[in-house]
Amino acid sequence: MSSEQEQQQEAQQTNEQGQPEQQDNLISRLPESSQRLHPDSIKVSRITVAFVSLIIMLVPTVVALLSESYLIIAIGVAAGLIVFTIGFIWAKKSYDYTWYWLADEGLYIQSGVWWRKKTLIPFNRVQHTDVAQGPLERKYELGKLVTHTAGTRDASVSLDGILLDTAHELRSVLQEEGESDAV
Amino acid sequence: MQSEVQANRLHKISPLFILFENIKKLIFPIVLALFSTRSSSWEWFALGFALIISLGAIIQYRFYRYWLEGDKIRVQEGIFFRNVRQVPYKKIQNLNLVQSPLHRLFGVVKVQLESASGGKPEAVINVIDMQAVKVLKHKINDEEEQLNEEVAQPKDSILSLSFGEIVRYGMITNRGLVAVAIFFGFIMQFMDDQIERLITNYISQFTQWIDGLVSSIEFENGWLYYTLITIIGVVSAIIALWLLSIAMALLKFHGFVLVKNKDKLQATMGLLTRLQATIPMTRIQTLTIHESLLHRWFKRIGITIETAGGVNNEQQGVSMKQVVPVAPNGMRHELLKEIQGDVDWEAIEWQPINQKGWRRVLKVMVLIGLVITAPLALWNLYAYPIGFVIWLIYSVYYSKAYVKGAGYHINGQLVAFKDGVIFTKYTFVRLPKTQTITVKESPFDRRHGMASLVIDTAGAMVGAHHINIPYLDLGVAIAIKDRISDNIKGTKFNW
Repeated sequence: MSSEQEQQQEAQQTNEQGQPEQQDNLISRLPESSQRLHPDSIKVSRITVAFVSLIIMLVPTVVALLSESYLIIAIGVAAGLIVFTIGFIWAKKSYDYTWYWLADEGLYIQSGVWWRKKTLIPFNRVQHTDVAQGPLERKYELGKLVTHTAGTRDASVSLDGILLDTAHELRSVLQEEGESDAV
Repeated sequence: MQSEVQANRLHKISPLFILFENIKKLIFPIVLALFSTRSSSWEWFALGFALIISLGAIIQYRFYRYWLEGDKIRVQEGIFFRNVRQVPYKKIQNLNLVQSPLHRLFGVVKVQLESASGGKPEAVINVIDMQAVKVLKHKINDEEEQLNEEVAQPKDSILSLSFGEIVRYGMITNRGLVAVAIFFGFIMQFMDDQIERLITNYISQFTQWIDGLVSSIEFENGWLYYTLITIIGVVSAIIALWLLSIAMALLKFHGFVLVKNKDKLQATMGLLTRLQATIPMTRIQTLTIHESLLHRWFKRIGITIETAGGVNNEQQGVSMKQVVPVAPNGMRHELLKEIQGDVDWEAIEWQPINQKGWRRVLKVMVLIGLVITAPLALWNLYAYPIGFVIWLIYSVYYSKAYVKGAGYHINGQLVAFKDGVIFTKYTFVRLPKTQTITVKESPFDRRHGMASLVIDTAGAMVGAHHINIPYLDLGVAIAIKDRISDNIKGTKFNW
């Protein structure tokens, strides 16, 4: 597992427009235990984007057919295609840059392609956790783990695109650790 | 439903106050409805409205009941959809009292109970008499506390504001500016030709009056004349604004007294409407010291706090964010010690952020400057570059001052962050109150090997100053994160 991880990390670093490997940034400091989302989550977000861009194309088309203006159709289709292309690329990108791992102190989630952030949710700050699953995710047996804290901006931190079983596992770890810590 | 405890009901005068509250809530829709519908039947609409809301008030009063049980208060309201709410005394964070002149006339008071759930008050008791309040307070505060607690004497208060201090508060904070902005925003909605003409008429009358004043001193119509007019205009505007701000400050803070009662802070304030708010000191999530340019001129500071949940929106209830509206800077440590005595305030040494960050601040300032000085080009082609250069000089000063002034501190008890050039703010979070810790890295951070560190707490208001330390070396940011996470490992969060 760990060797695979390292390979992934190396691939990661060469991905970054050939920047030197020793460059110090959040990604280069990922621990060995860090996990990626499930690869199927790329498919899920691409299908979602496809739906959204279809709607973006359909609405102007209906409007255009009613008002008989074909320029609107062109604009709508162009907008839909742009949204789809960006979404399609972004799905892979955001997968590439999202990691999570458990440490002694809590659950770490690293995300963001350009604006990256690493969030630590300490075990003993977890108020409660949700595991959720949408219809599309059900098809790929994926799920979402939502961790609720007493905070405000991070009142709920979600980890979207992991296997449903993984979500349940993480949830039970978070609960156990939280309880054992809360002496 | 039956319990051995006797049910308490609202005071008999309550429907009147409930009615007022309902009217207050509905006044905007009603006014708008009256303005938009110019039909002759609007009187009937108004009458119907009034009838419905007054009936509603009486019904609300009739069906409201509360019980003071052993360890919790139970509140029941509603007719068809009966709502029963139980709030354990221990969970009640703030107990706030509101007493307007009308309340005082009847010797009653409105009570708000706030718990950590945030948003709106957990329970509002509108209205009960003073005796009932005493009983309620006795129940909520510890049992051992005796009923004979007197109204706190100013002598054992932490802070009481004199008239002079409140005047200073008004001048420093300039809340009048906000009021004027809201007023004009409101007026704009109803602006039609007639009102506009009226206002421009007033303005031109005023300028004519100043004009007369100035020209009576026999000046030629030169540049001196115009500068004098501008100066008089600006000065009178500032004075008017200050007077308004002072008046507003007096309304809110007249007779402000902050008392420490065991582990609770209790503040009493207000000229017409008296407010009394209590806050358990252990529930303070963040503490912020405000020291703006005007504060520094007057050698004053202000202290605000954020509590978990509670009422974050001032419109929804009494909020006691401003524990110290204004106080002499010399009292800083003394006051902090009173509010949070377990922290060694004098031992705080500020660590600098990466000083190279000033170039990055400057770049942002230049971008902002390009945009906000652009409208000058419409007025005069040369004004744009001149305005931009002035902005640039200020930006260089600002950027250097910002990175020099910003800093952080972390010890075993708390983490602190200060920043700001004109409005300097110091925020302190005790470590057990931290929630999530985030290290952020923007593309620009990455280029310079920097990062920022953000700490989330309960009850953080949107836009309020919080721990968000920018321009840190990545290693430093991660070290701070590790230190905090090590420290809170094994400590349970206690609201």
